[in-house]
Amino acid sequence: MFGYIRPVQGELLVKEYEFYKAVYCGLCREGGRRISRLTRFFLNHDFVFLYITRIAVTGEGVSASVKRCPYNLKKRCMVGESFSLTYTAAAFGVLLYYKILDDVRDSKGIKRLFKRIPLVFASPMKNRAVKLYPDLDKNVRESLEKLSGLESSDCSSPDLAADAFAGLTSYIASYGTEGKTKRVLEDCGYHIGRYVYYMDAFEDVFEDSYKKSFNPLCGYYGTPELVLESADEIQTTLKDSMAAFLRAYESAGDKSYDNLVKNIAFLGSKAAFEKSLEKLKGNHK
Amino acid sequence: MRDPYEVLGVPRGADDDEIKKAYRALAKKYHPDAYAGNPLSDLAAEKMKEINEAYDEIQKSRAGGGNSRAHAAQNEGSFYRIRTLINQGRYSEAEIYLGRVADKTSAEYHFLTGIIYLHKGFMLEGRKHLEEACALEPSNMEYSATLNNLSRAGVNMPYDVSGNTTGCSGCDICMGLMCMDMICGCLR
Repeated sequence: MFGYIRPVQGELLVKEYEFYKAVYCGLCREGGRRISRLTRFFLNHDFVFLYITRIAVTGEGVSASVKRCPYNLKKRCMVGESFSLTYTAAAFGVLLYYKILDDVRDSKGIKRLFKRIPLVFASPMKNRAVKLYPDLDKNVRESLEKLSGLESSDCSSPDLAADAFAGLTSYIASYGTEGKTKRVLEDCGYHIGRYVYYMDAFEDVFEDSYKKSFNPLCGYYGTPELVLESADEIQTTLKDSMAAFLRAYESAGDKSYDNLVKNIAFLGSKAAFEKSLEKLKGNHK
Repeated sequence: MRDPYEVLGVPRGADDDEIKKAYRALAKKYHPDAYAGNPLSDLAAEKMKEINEAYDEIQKSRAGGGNSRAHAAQNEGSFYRIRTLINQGRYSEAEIYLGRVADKTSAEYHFLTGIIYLHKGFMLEGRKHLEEACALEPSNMEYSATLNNLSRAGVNMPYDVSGNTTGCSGCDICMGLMCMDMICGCLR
């Protein structure tokens, strides 16, 4: 997860933005308290969105209180401990561990030695998360193995590669729920994951081509330049994903945080793609 | 059954026009076309059924009569079976039968493949097949409606996101008049 989806602040009510910040701070604090301090440094907005979608669909109660942030002199409003909050922080911890492990595997020589250093802190982090949610590790590992299998076989379908990652986020989003709520969250999680995977592939298209590493979009369109030329098509498919996300979210019936979720999914996703496109065009020139 | 007025989100004292308006808005939102290929289409269909029943109930209680809806779909050849399987939510079976279809260039083949891809979450491939189906049969309303609904979330956005800043709104007129008043005041 890479922190692409965030709200467009200008279109939010003050109380909605304050709530978003409280969720970010709450998740950061809970991660530090229950999982590892490492999660506090790497926490990203995609997980905040996952948490908000989860509580919006499940209707889980949220408490908030003002607490002092150890990394900031100011006192901040944070959401309080709940099942979804602890679980989201744990899921982030497990994913972070596998990300660090993946980086170690991908690097060679002296760089590999340096990249192993964070593993000393990441392993206890994963163990603590797995102790809280034992089946989380197995599912995350299986999905990531499936994804790396597709990547090593130079999968030419970006949809197929994105499906492996989206399956993982679908599982994370719907963990511990059942019935209709589970189905809605599975679908919401799937499209969040698909969006994030496509965005990551799009943003790294030139870098991956330079390093000669796998990029699903390069494999599909041919060259990074052709990927850039097909930006409209990629934007359309991301828009389709977010429309599917919103349809799934809407079918949940009674839900809270409507404005915030729709702001992030509709406006935030669009803004993130446009920002990436600008950046890529600038770098290409 | 839930209170039909609650389902439609209207007060009990609402007149026929208000009820019709609320019904139309909800029917548009949960219409099966908007959920074509979506794995949650059955939930939307459930909601649609609830809305239809609520509307019928209100109509019946108000007019002392009732109306019924009948839906029929007719298709020919092997695609009929695939469509039935898709409607029953048996997508993997439908995909197997679709793989056995001899005519892989027809619009119907592309349409059904698109629907199956969309159900799996393969939006890029799914859209391509739907576009192909529309290109082969531009007059087919079903194909074009499905393609048009793909990017449409079918939900009401809480904010005005049209991004239209070139028009002259009521606020612009008021602002203009205020500025003019200030300028005239200075010149006096």
